[in-house]
Amino acid sequence: MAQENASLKDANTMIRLEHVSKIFNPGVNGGVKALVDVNLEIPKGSIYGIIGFSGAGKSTLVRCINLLERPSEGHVYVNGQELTKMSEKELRSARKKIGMIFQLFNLMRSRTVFANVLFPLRHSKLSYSEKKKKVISLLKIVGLENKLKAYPNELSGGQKQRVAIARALASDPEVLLCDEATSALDPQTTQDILSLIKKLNQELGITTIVITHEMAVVKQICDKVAVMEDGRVVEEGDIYSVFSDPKMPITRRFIGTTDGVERMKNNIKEMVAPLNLKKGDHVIQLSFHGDSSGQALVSTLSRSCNLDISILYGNIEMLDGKALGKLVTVFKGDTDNIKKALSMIDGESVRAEVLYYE
Amino acid sequence: MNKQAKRLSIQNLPSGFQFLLTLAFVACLLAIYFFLPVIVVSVLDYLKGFKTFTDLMPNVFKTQKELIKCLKQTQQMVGYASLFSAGFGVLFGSVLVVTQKNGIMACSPIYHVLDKLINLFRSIPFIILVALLIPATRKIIGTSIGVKGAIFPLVIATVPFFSRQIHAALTEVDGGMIEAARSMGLSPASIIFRVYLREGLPGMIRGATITIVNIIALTAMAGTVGGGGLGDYAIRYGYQRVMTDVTIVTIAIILLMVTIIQTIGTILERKLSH
Repeated sequence: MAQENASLKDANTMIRLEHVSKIFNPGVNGGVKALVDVNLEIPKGSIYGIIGFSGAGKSTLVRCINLLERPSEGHVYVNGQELTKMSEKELRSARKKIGMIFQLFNLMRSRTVFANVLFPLRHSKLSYSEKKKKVISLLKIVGLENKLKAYPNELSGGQKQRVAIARALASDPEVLLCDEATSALDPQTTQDILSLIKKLNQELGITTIVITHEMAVVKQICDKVAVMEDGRVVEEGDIYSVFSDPKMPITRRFIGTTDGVERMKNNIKEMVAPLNLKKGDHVIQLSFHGDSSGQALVSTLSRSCNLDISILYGNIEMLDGKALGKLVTVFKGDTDNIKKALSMIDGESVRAEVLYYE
Repeated sequence: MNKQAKRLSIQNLPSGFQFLLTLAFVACLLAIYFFLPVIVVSVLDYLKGFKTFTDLMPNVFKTQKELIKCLKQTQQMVGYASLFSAGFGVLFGSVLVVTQKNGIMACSPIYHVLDKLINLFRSIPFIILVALLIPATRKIIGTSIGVKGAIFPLVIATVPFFSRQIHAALTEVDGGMIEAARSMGLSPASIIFRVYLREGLPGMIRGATITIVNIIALTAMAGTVGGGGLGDYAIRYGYQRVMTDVTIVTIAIILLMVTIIQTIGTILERKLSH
């Protein structure tokens, strides 16, 4: 029975990490704890973001997925197979199904673009002409079919990353690990590479894991996100729920890097200082989820509760195909009326949060 | 109109042609190196016809036969010593790089033993090493004198040096490439042959060039065990019989050899690094 449950769970899960810990140099002063009891489940076909500041352990985590770093404790399952149980030889063949791209591309400098993409196909059973066809079709997918004979040094950063992606795809992987794949690229190239990753995910159904320190990257392509701090996953969930309702301070900080409202919340005192608020004024954040984004809430409240409502800041964005609106307002008027207004809006689709009051 | 682009220069030729041209140039240099005795003989025969030269370097013409014999001995010693050192140097250099800390087959006992052995042999001056190795040379080669007897200590002296050069060249190979290769599921052997020895090739060639030039210098000391060679020739005639012209001609020939080796090394290194 338990066995059945496990296999049922595996059907939709591509990668499962159970109690994974990694300690570097365990001999020296108890070692450096890079990962502490990480549990993750990454669904098949999703783009899963892992975000954290430098040193949070995200690169170690992604290296524990293909066992470039062997976890000190815990189990790693990829596509139903336990990698942590495998011999080196089994592991090597399992790794062929896990493509990986890197921040600094890591192309072979002495080989041309063509030879770089051919590199992982050395021991495949295809004939040379089939391999050649495959390499050229992969380079077409990434848009570099005219650079076959170029050496990596003759390419721009974005082109190098495209070659690296083609190389990672050569062995038909089920999983693509992206370790800070856009961190060394300029904003425009970052956009191009992210769209390419999204396209590959949709067209080939490759489960993709994106490691990054930029919230904008997560926001743009991920379905789910895990936030890491000090080797732990501190918050995890669908991108929409994490963005609309962040629980941990570090998550708020990350969201603040791409979202003015969160930035405002993080130092609300300084932000409201120039407003000369009077006693009884409330600074209130309204969050609109999904359909409610279109409601004429502010004018309704203003009329029915006899309040003056001014808008300080607002934005609306699309996450995972759903709209998320945030509005920072000042409610001016009688405290009882403000309370009444708040009780009116406390609901499912619109949430109010008092940020500050005099 | 861009005049710069039209100028005839090797950079403007098609890459296949450029490659052939480089190859031909390297082949020419190699030919000059290997046919050096023949070339020296014909040059000396030609110069004999000029009184200026017979006055300038009478002793060279007198000892011409000896000069050619010694040049051939030097070439033999350099050739064999380079060949053996290259083989063992690449082997030990690779072992060092894969067994060192964070290497793909990290194994500190092997690394440390090899590392210390290399240090030990590098710290023995060659002239002392030759004397020290005489019994071993006699056992392994059958004789401890002559060209044959000199090659063994030459190899023993150069292998540690070349291993270090290879180790340095392979350590320069970007760790990212190794990580990428591991993530693709390559075995340690494949990583050594397809990544380290391929991507580190320019650095290895630089090391080989330095090593061969070094061997040429060491052969000068092979005279102590009757190995002969140009160094021995210069000492016997140039120094002991005060024939300064012999010394100068010897230096000129060795300079030519070193220049050829260095030029080939530089060209190959440049062509192989992209």
